Amino acid sequence: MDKIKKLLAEQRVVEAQFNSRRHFIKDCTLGLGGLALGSFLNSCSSGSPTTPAYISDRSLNPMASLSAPFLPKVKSVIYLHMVGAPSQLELFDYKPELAKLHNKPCPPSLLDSKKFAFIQGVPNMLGPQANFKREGETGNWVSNHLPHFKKVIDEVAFLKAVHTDQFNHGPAQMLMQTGSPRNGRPSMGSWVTYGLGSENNNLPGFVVLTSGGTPDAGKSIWGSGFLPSVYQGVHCRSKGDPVLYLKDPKGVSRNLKKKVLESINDINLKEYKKFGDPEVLTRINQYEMAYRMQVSVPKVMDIDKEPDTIKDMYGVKPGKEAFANNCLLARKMVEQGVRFVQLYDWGWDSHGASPGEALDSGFLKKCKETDRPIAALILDLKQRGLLDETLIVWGGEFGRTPMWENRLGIQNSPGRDHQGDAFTMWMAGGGIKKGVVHGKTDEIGYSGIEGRVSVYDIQATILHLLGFNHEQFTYQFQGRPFRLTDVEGHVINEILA
Amino acid sequence: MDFIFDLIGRFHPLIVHLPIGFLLLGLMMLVFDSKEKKHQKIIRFAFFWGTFSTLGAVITGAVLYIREGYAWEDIQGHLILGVLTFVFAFFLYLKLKGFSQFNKLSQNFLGYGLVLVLIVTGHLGGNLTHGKDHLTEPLPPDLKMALGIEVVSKKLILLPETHQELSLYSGVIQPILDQKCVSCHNPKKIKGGLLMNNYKGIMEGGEEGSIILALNDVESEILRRIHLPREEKKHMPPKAKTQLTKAEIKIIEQWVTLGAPEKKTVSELGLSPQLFTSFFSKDETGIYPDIKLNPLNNSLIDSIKSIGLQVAPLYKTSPLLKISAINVPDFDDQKAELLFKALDHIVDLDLGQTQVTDAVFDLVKEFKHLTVLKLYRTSISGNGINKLRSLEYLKQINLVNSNFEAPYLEDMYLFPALEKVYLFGTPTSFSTTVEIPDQFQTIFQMGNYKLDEEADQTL
Repeated sequence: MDKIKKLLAEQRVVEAQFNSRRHFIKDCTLGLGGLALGSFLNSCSSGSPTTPAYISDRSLNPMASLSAPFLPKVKSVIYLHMVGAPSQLELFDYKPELAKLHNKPCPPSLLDSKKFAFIQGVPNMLGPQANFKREGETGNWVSNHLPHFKKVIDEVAFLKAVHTDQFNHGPAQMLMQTGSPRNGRPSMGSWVTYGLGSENNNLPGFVVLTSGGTPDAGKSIWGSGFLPSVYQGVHCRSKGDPVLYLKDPKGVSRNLKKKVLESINDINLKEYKKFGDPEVLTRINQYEMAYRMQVSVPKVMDIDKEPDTIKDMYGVKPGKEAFANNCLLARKMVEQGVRFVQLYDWGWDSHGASPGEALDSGFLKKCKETDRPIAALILDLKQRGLLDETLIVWGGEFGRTPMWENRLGIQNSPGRDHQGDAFTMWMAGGGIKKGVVHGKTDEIGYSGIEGRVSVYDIQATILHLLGFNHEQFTYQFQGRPFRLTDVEGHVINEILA
Repeated sequence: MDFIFDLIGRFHPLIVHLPIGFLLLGLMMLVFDSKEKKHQKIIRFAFFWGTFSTLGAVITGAVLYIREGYAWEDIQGHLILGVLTFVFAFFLYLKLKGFSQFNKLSQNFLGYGLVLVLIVTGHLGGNLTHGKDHLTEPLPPDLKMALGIEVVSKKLILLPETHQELSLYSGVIQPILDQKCVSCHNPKKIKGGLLMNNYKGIMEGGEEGSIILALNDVESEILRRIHLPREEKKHMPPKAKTQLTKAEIKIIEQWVTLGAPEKKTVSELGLSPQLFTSFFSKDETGIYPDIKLNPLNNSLIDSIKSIGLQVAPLYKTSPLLKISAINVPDFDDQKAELLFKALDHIVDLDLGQTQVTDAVFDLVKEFKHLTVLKLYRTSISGNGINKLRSLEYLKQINLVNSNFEAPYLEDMYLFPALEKVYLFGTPTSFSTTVEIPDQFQTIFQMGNYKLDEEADQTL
């Protein structure tokens, strides 16, 4: 009996805590909002043509479109992440000096106090496994592995000395996409949709398209971290159903689905009115969005209706999961007002330990798979007048060593180990100074010697182009304001128009 | 024993408050007791001590003036009126005491006069310690303007083209110090014995010694103080004052590290342009017109939004509007009339993928600040586009995948500000007979880009 009494007392205490002053204030204000929401939803189901306030009011629709604090240069971002970290030394960073050192032992001074993922002892150096040429009017260097890229080389601004402090894929990808090598932070796309919302009511604001496999860091790199979960990336598949579990099950009509959703939303609304938890609102919105997406997503994800010239330009592979398809989809999404399109293309980890990872086979296949679609994407955006209002970012999570990887002391096919001290990324599109090269590496491409930029600088620059000051764009969590760039980051003004 | 004088002078700020209290109390009691005359004794008591403490304030004030290096021009008003306060208080006291010599002076004259000089003296004293703008500074800019107080932009603004030729010290560092430090470290008010209004003062340092150790930025007092936590008493600027920005701190650090040179220019010192970018004036409107408009009122915006249009300012504080019909596929010419409500404010209009026809140009021609117009994937043929030639800001038109026909192309040659017209996927772009004069070639973008098919073979 004593124990039961104790239990009852505890329950009373918990209940009393629930009815704190804070809860009263929160409950009442949000409760009123919820009441309003109820009537708005009613007007919606009656098929009235007017837009209910819950679409445009942020307190009721977390995805409502917002203006940026400063004049944005772009309204959308297409981020092309080459998962596994492509070798800068075979694509953009031409190092003739390195060719002279080919297959000679690495000077010990380069190995002092360095950490590598796989290199052991004293490796040999590996000369560039590509031929380089100056291309375009700017005469910037590009390797023969990217024959189509020369057509768009004058559109991009190169960052030749990006650096990161992570040298393993998962943490480095997390750092690149969320600003922290550990779990728990919102991804860049989540920050952006949190800050700007989505223009198109029928499509998610943050779409993720993958090819080749899931990034090593897992799906949390498009997670929303401590932001409300409505801002997480929506993973669309280019093969099979675009979004899993979006289709109606057999025997369920769209009408029945609508009725079911209305009932569920009704119940959820009651819950929301009672507790005021924004996650309930998120859930209501997700159901509504899913219902609208059942029609809009298959439409936007359907690349078959594109003219053949366009399909050929991208080199799409209908019905397959391919980077080319994803590039075309990215253009279609941006055209429909999707805010942040994140492409992940897996398979760039060119260690040389197996043919698929070797610079003379697997790497070439990846180059071929991506070269044409990327060039096509830039040209297609350009001819549609979208390149001026879209930012394209290309890069991996780190770079690769000028040394020939010698895993377990064995030198396999040509391959390079992970290395974060210097790698190449590029940006193109609105607000970017065309054809500029910022940063320079030493004669073997091992470290940046000029214009070094950090991962945070990249993030600060992306936010800047979207109209944010990265130092002021914060979210209060666990007692302190958080930002994407944490306490770092400088906008890279050298590449801005 | 000199220090005694210093000490006496420094009691001035304490003592001045006594006469203010005593005399005001005395004056209040004088009014209170004017009918019944029951408390004359206690009133005289108040004026006795009021007069006495005024004398103390005048003496300590004079000592402070002599010992602490205030300029006569700055304190003359305060000092003269302080003496006058003493005179008024003393005379009033004597009159209350019943000295017949004062019969000619009316008590009212002495009373009101005392109130006046007391308040003005106090105010001038306050100006000396807290600065002349102490009371006006917190006022909102609008009110300041109304009061005729000059609102000076408190930000250092550099020009990207010319900043390289400025002397780092006089062109950048001193203006920063002027805004953030000099209000307390100037010849009038030398806090800590430190002058920061000129190079000499900064180099000489203050009571605690030099503030700049060239080539040793970490140890330099100026940087140590800046980097102390804001709560610390020694943090500079004091926590209640406007703080230095990160960019300002960086540039001061650089300057100190470089040995605090006086004359060298930014380019001679080879400083990275990145250090200065935050001092450039922001290009706030980009391609859009830089015009001042009152923001459209919210109920009007809501009524435009009610049919599902996205209506948003270009950026948070801009009155200019960007409107998009992306969520209204059935948007047509009739619905477009709703946009009339915002005709001056619309600068960016996206009517792509809607049912609008050529009739929409009749409406659009009224949007005199329109800069970007999107009509992609519509049935627009271009008939009537010549009506838009009066739009002096119209720079971009997107007609991709519309039915735009080649004959209407030349209507656009007359548009005053046109920069880009996207025509990919229109009958015009497929037409072989279109000949665009050279000067317009870069404006009209037909697209149809092709990739080199042979390039694939090289892999």
